[in-house]
Amino acid sequence: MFRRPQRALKISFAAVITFAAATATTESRPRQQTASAESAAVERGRKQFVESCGFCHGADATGGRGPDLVRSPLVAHDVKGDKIGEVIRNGRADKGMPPQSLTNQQISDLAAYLHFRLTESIESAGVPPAYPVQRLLTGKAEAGKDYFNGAGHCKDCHSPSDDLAHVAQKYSSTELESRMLYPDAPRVNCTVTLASGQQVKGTVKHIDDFVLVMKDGSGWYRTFSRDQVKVELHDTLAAHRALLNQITSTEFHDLFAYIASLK
Amino acid sequence: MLSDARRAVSGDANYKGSDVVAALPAVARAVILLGALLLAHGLSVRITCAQGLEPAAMLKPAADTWPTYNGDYSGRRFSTLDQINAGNISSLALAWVFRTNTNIKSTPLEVNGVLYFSAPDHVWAIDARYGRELWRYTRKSEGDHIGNRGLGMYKDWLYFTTPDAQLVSLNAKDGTLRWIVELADPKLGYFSTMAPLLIHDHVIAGISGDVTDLRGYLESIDPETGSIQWRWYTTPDPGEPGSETWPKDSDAILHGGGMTWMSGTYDPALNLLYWGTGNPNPVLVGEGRPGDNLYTCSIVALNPDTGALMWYFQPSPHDLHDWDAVETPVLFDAAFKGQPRKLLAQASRNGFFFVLDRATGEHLVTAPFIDQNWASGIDAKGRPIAKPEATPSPDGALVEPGSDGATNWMAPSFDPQTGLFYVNARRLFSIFFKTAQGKAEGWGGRDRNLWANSTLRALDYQTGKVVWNHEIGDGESIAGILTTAGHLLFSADNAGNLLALDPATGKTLWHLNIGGELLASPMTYQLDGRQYLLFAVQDSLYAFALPEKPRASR
Repeated sequence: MFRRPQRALKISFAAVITFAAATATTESRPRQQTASAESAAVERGRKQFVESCGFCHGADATGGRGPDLVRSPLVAHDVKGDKIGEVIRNGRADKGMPPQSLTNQQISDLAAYLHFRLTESIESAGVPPAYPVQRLLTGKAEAGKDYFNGAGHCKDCHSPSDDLAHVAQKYSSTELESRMLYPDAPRVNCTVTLASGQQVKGTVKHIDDFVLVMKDGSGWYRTFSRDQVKVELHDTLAAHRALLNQITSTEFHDLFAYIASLK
Repeated sequence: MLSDARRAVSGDANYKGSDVVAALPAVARAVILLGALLLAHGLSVRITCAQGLEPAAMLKPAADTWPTYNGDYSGRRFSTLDQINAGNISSLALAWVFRTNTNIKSTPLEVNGVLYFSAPDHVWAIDARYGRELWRYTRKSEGDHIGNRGLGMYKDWLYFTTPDAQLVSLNAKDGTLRWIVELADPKLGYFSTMAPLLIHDHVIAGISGDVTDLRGYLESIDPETGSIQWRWYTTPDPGEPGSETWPKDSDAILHGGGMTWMSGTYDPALNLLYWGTGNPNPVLVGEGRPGDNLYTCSIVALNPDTGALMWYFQPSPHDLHDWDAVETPVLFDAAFKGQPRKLLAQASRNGFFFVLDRATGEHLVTAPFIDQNWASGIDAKGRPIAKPEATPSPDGALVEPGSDGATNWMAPSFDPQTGLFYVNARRLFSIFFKTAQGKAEGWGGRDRNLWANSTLRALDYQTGKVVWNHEIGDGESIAGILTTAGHLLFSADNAGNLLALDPATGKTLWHLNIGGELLASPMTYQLDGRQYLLFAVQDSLYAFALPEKPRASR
């Protein structure tokens, strides 16, 4: 599927419906209480689910002898347990599901848990903000250090005691790994040679095939038509783009293990 | 009736018939106009019904109409209009602008002097000569509002799809609602964005939705009643052919994805409908679905009257990167290794260009059309072979391209004058994180984009080699391409410049800083002997034409 740029977290259909359903019962309560009441219900529901449903539907509702409930159309259509409660209380004799007499509270909690699982699956289409760094540390830091000082040429521009001091403390795990390969917001410097031979140096604000907008040493902006001047670009991130084309999987994870040690 | 005749008469560029006719007595006028109407009917199928679109007209669209998403059934997006050409392109002037309040990704239809276009929840009909609104239809809905590619038309009726996975039919005269039918259950996560494709008496409609694990399908719907004629499932029923590429005794196949979210193409002589299918589910995690996962990420040839599968080819088997193969399967007849062949070409999301014989499905060419780091080679069937280290992993896999693809839904083009296939391509690096633990549901992870730039490329269809390359800057463009008999290629760069290039060399012939991104594909049509070139930029339509000669003063 084509997706929008990932910076904006998409609020999807079911998350909207789930959220709307969850808040509908608690609209008179302040927001903070609502959120913790919801997560308490989900937690109770999780325990209840393992006890009452997990032996057929899997401890995490992804199925076993019984179907995967995260993918269940009935769960998707359920509102606050109205349909889920019916199935639990009546069972499904033809499918071998026994009826269970659970209380309204228990059913409500189970429904909250199942809706939470559905929301989780929808939101799995995103890198979680707090991703355990342990999962990223599959490489060898020593080998990463060798790469940093050797084949990676990182030390040509970077130093663990200077610009990269404590860098591992500055970013979340996945941010650190991503920025290691390619940092944000590149600064491109340029040298413009006019027809007279005069040169103007500065930083690029905008460039395309037709127009260059740059800021010169005085701090003023200047614009040039590309067909009237020569432009030399000095992209500080060119080395990172070259890295993307060269780095192997092993080097990538070794380097990260080293960078992640710079706390 | 009379107004149609006047239109037919005044369409002749040699004289202002309307002025001559207006001066005559009423009876004489009626006789002349009736004669003109009959003459016009003989010359073109276009005038059969008042302002509507006869299905037969789709088989050979009048050169000055754009009656379907891609302009015609071939998907080439090559216009035979040449009034605007390489010789006069620098004189191109703005004819009019139509503003809306929402981004437009659709390619407008132009039929009998009216433009029909859409955005999620909205359809407009505007006059194609002057850019004035005739009517507007709005239907608010839930669901993914990522975009709407446009409309289908049949006689006096229009068809469009919605974020809540409905198919809406409107009266083309005034935009009033005729009926709505459900394509798929929006509560499960289905939505729809594609421009329906009309083939004889079939409305072909596809669906979207890969955030949850759904089963994809394509439907043919009766244009009069809205009832389903046939449904083709992208993933087969257990036990059916193709199901051997999924695990047995598992719910994987019935939740396997394969959305049908872009309009296909059609060969009337072979009576074959060509459609691309989307990625399998769970998107980034393949452990629960070992096998090639047919017919996800495939180009399929279907019988449009029955939905029967005639042949298939799979650009991305067992896909793990969201690399839908829904890109336009472009149809053209050309020489291949000295023999005339009926061909189909797709520049696919995964960075590979494929050429097939569209009558038989025989594989002819596979070649990368842009930088990629995930495939180690091509197998005996012509399919790229994925390297193990490209698999999304908990510690992150660096892959080029990312999930947004080496190209995406934006229109490619084939120019029969140059014999070149054109694609808007990206170099895009992403780190693919598999975050799912245990059984994956939904995406099971996500890729994080690191860097991208875009380029327009011309490919030799016989080899896939890049004949010319025209860089269009940092970022991921979604600008479509149009080529014309005037020896022009129209698109845009990533800096908000509209571009006209020489399709033979890629050299820039014209540009305009339009102050916004081209999120759609350009189209063109001719009315009253004047060719209009249309770009939807952000929320506005810009119509360009050569300057009009000043009228003689009265």
